[in-house]
Amino acid sequence: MIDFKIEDSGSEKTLTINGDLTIENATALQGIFIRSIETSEHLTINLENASAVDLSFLQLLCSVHKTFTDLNKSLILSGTCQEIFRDAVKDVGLLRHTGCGFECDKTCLWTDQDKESN
Amino acid sequence: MSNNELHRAAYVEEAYELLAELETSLLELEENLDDMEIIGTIFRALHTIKGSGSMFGFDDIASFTHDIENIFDKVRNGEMSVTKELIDLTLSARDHIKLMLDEPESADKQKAGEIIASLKDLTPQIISTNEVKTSPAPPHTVGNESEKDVTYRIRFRPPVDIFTRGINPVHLINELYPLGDCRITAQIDAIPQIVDINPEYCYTYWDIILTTGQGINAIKDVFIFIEDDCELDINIIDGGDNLDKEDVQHNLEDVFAGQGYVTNEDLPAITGSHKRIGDILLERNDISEEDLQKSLDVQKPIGEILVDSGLTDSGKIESALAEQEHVRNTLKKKDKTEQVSSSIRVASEKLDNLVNLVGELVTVQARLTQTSASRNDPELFLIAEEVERLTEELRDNTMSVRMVPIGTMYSKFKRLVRDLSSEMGKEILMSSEGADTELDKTVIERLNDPMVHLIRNSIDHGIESPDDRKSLGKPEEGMLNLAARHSGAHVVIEITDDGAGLDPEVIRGKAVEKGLIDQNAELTEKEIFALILAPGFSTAQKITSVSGRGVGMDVVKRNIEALRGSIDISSKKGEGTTITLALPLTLAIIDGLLVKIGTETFVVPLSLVEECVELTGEDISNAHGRQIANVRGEIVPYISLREKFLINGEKPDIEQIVITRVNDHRVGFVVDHVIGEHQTVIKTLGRVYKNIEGVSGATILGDGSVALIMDIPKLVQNAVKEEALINAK
Repeated sequence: MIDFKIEDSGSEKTLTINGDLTIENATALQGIFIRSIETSEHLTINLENASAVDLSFLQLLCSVHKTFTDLNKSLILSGTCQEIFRDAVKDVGLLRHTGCGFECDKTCLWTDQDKESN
Repeated sequence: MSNNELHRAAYVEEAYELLAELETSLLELEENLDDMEIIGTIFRALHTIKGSGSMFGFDDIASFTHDIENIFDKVRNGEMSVTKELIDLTLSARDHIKLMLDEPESADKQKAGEIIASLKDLTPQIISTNEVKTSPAPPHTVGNESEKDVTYRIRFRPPVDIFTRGINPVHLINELYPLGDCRITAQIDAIPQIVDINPEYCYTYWDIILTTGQGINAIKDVFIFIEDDCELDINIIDGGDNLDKEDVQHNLEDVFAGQGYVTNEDLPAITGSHKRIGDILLERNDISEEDLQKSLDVQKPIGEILVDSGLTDSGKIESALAEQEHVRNTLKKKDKTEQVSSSIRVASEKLDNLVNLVGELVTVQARLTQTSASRNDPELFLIAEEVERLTEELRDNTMSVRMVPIGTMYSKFKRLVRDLSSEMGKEILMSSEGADTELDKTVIERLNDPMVHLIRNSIDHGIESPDDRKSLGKPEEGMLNLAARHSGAHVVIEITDDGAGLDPEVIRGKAVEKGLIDQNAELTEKEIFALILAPGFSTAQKITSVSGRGVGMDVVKRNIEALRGSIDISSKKGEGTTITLALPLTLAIIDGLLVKIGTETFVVPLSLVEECVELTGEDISNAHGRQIANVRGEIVPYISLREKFLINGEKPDIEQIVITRVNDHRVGFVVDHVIGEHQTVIKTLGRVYKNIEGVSGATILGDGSVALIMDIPKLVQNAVKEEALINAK
């Protein structure tokens, strides 16, 4: 089970998602992200209360980040990511020293995860 | 069987092997608590059982094993030390995993919980299953210094629908960590925009750099279940050990021409041992040579230039950097050599079929040899000879494939000794010799039960309690030794203990009481000891759960004899007992001696035959009606097979005695003619004839006729019994 909420603070919005961010909920999560694109210019994703994270969710995050960048919108992860999230990123082999080729504002979601986990 | 069922069956098979390895390693660890290599092996076994378990739907096993794996991760990282309690509990956990595989429905969850709780008591700081992160184990260091380590570049692209098959590719990739030093980079350039993505598809693929000494097959094994559906490229990165001599020569000349001398710092440039990023990306086809050349014209780090110009993705650069660094580090450590394992796993049924086919071939070859001999055609004779040579070679090679080292049994027995001795409050150290001695896999399988019984007997009746031993001036710790060695066509296994030994007087008394022997019977010590193999014989004062019901030793004897083996007991009161088993190397094809009685042909196992001598009418009359022959001054009793098998007809003037050795006694078998050696493919006689004594099987001869294979020990045993009856009358 997942639940989410979008908080509005002017031009910035925060999307908080709770629960199992896993393949079982992947379709629902895609829907949440598509909705957030339509309503946000600057989106912060808060995963503080995620209970499980798997590759399908990380792919969705990457995908939504691509779309945001393409639309000249910004997407970042809140600084208080859970260890469970950082471990999943590490497990998948997503830790990066440099960001993606398509994004020029150096907001790659994976570049700082190893620093936070240390 | 569906693919999924096949995969699950393969998992179960692998899990059993891993559990056996786990048990052996735990018992070894008990003797050497600080051995990091053994701890690494235990961790890897647990890790694989867990990882593959969750992949194929054995969630209970995966979850249970996960907690134990975490503990061994702590041990591996030096956060926890190995204790006897930890080993005890891990062995119990191992047994529980086995039960979960054997009979999932009877695996008690409460018991699993108790084991985990006890383990957690050993490590109060342990994190519970739900809290534990599933991050991969850090690259293990055990064996990393091996000279045989090879660095591989792996690109793994799973099928897009891998999630829907219930497989998590991350679990697969994490299986690579236990193999060695591993760098994993996920490639995400194929992930589409959020509106186009199918959230249940896997778009990620991976570049992995792995240095391992376990060979390419170990890597392939990780992906074995999806190898047909995924893209998997595994390449060895040369990293300096496959240097091209011409390149080195050329580079050396360049450096020398440039500065007039060569220093240590010039070595990488000469040997080309550190590949540059551009070279790696080129090798992987991630960029073209043109792209590389263009970028090299600009003085910026090549990776940055390529990403900035949109020619490649940062993931590719990241992966290439990882490879470069990995190889550099590996080179610093050692000169590595390529070693690719070349073993494959084959279903035992296929081997059985192969042996059957070789058996048929041996039969046909015998026919060819026989035909060629009768045709007097030198060309045909030469061909037959060549076929005979090749068949013999093929037979030996096929048999060697079925050979399994006896050491595979030893580890099981080590556990048995450990558990029984602790159950009975005894201290016993088990040692073993000749673990490499090989035996046919069928013999090994059928040997298990008799061996278990003999070991149980040694522990229960043989080795005394520590207090008793102390009072007898013996070390408190008893000794049980298992030794195996080749002896001709046999393997000899000795089970020796330093316990109380057998008391010939007590055995004799018991045998008389049970009516097994006459009060006045004259028996050697060996013959008295052999009485304990008689049905219903037991000298134990009380019946324990371990042994003492008197139903075991005769079964042991029967089982060993069914394997065409023999059992011998030697013992010294107060000092210990040695039980010696002699077993044939194989049960499928033997070398036999073909003999003829009347029109019937028989086979005597050649391994028992010592010599053949003539028996004339004069010899018979000199023996005054007794069936004995004088062989160079030695009296050898014989059995007339013509009489034994009630074969009619005239016997020749000069008969032949085939002299065999059974239980250290020479016994002759009188036949009409000795034809010669014969490769004998053993065929069982079937249920109808299973109770016929004195015949252990049959074989088909070159002319298509059937020859019975004689059960020599049984014939001797029956003759002894008959004589005893006659004497008693």
